[in-house]
Amino acid sequence: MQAKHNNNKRMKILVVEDNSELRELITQSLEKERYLVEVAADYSTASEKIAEYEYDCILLDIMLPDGNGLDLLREAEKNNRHLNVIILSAKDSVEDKVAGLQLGADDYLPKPFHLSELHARIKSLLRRINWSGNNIVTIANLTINTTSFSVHVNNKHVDLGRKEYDILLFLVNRKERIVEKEILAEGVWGDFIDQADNFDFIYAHIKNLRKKLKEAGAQVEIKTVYGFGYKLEVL
Amino acid sequence: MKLINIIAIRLSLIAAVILAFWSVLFYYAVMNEVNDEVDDALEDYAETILIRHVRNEELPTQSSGSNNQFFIKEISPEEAILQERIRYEDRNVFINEKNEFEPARVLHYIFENEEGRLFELEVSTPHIEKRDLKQAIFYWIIFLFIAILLFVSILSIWSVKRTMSPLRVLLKWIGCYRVGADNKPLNNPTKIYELSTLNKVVEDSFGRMEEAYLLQKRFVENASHEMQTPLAISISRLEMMLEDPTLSEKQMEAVVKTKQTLDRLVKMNRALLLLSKIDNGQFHSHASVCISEIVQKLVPDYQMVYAAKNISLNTVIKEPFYLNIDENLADTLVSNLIKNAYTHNISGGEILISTDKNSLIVENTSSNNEELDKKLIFERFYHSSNSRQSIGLGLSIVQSICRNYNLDIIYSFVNGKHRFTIKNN
Repeated sequence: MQAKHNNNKRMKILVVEDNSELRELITQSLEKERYLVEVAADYSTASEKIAEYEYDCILLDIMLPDGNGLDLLREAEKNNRHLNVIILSAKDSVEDKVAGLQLGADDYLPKPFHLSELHARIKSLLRRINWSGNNIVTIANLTINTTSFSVHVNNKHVDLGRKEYDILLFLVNRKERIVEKEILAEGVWGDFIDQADNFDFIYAHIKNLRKKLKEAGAQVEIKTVYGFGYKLEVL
Repeated sequence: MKLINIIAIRLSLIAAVILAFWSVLFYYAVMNEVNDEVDDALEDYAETILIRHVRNEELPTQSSGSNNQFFIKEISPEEAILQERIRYEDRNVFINEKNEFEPARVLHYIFENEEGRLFELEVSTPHIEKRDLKQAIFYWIIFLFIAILLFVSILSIWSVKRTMSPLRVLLKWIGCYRVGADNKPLNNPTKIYELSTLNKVVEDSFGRMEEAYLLQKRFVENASHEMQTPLAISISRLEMMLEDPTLSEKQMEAVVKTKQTLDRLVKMNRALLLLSKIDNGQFHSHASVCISEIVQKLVPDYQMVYAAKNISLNTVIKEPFYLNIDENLADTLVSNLIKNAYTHNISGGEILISTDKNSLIVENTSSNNEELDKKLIFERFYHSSNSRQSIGLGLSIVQSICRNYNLDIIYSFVNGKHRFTIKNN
């Protein structure tokens, strides 16, 4: 059903969230990323909008004042429509996740989440839709194939370690945003990292990654933002 | 002490006192009756002799085979005044026929004949031997006492066993009861009012306890849920703020620090939710999970993360250790134990992780060489003095997982090292 999008077309996103403050924040943040954003505060509004319009992506809160967000998925399934949905749920439960994904949701993001994480998920979802299956991320002269875990600069293969690859992908998915060391560590190594009192181990990887990117002539740079984070910038 | 024993001891003490009193009374009653009879007989005898003596008839032979004896002697009026006219006494008397002394009842009778001469008649008859009687009564009382004791014991054992069987059922039920677990209903019908009331009271109070436990659990869960959205909002706001290019380094640092604090709160919240989920039994899946493999998978990451602490970690897989457990929880379990071993360690310390067929052992050098309080370490939010950094839920989660899957978690302090052992129960 999804037509191929060209880069000029702005992606349309529907935010279904009953909390007005959070809804506005998400909207603001998405608009900054040049998405077209529409909002629905409750189940009925969301249902109407979904019936009437096409959205590239729907951010769906499960617990709505007048219904369960998952029912929107059921409704769509009945009408043989596929929605591209990222579930936002305060209930970080395996059952909800499984139910949602089974009903055709594409991703599941437990609240509270970081906006940068949300953006990364949206990007990766849109990428999946638009280049159906062929997961290639391109940024400047850098290409990352997320299926074969390979990185190319100007079509030349760059040999990266596993963690280096993970760090690069994590930063690319959040390009032009500050990524704190802690967030990066958690994203790449896992949740358990939270209590590490020293993040020097990240620095070693970043240093290697920078060196390799520079040697390959990549037009991106990992900048250190003051003492606490990194930012991937296109040169 | 068992109820039966207490009942038996009390009853036998009471029986002993009552029987002691009763035996004394019994002895005096018997003696009284015997004396009465003997005195009557003596009086008759004395009368016969007296009449014969007065009539100057021939007196009976000294004893006529009955061991009865009599003496008559004349006494002076002075002597007579000093004595009562009729007097009984118990005395040992020499019996000629037997040629020995025997206890006897003696009657002194003072009388005057027609000539005005005073005589004292002494008649005696062998009497019951008091010592023998006392002894006999004593032995019989002891016999009675033992008989009663036996009787009482048998009776009380029987009746206690019969009437108290609902109590035993109740006690067993209480003993098996685990709050929050899936408990069997109490099936304990009884006609005894006190016991049926006890059943009801116990069931009611356990019901209230269960309710309170449920409320507490639900409260933690709901509170954690309700905090998610405000947390999401605050963090998002800070994130948007960070995108502002006009922010100075100092401002940015302050924002990042605030955000990190909020992130910690998020983690705490997630950990609490995970805890209530485990405690609510929301993890049902079981799979045979190789714990040793998880250890080997996680160790390199941890070594990298904590490289700065210079801790040497040794893994000894003697034999693979398998648990029947949810896979995610298995990861959490091992990961929390390893994390714990790193965070409560000293720089340059040691960690030893070993598995064999039946157990996983994680051992680490202690930061202050002190044994931890076994009761407290698994408590939520328990912090040993030097570690404010951790959330304080890691070991609680480990314990909850173990409880959920019936595993033993044992803490011990061996050679200055903290040791956590997980075993299949």
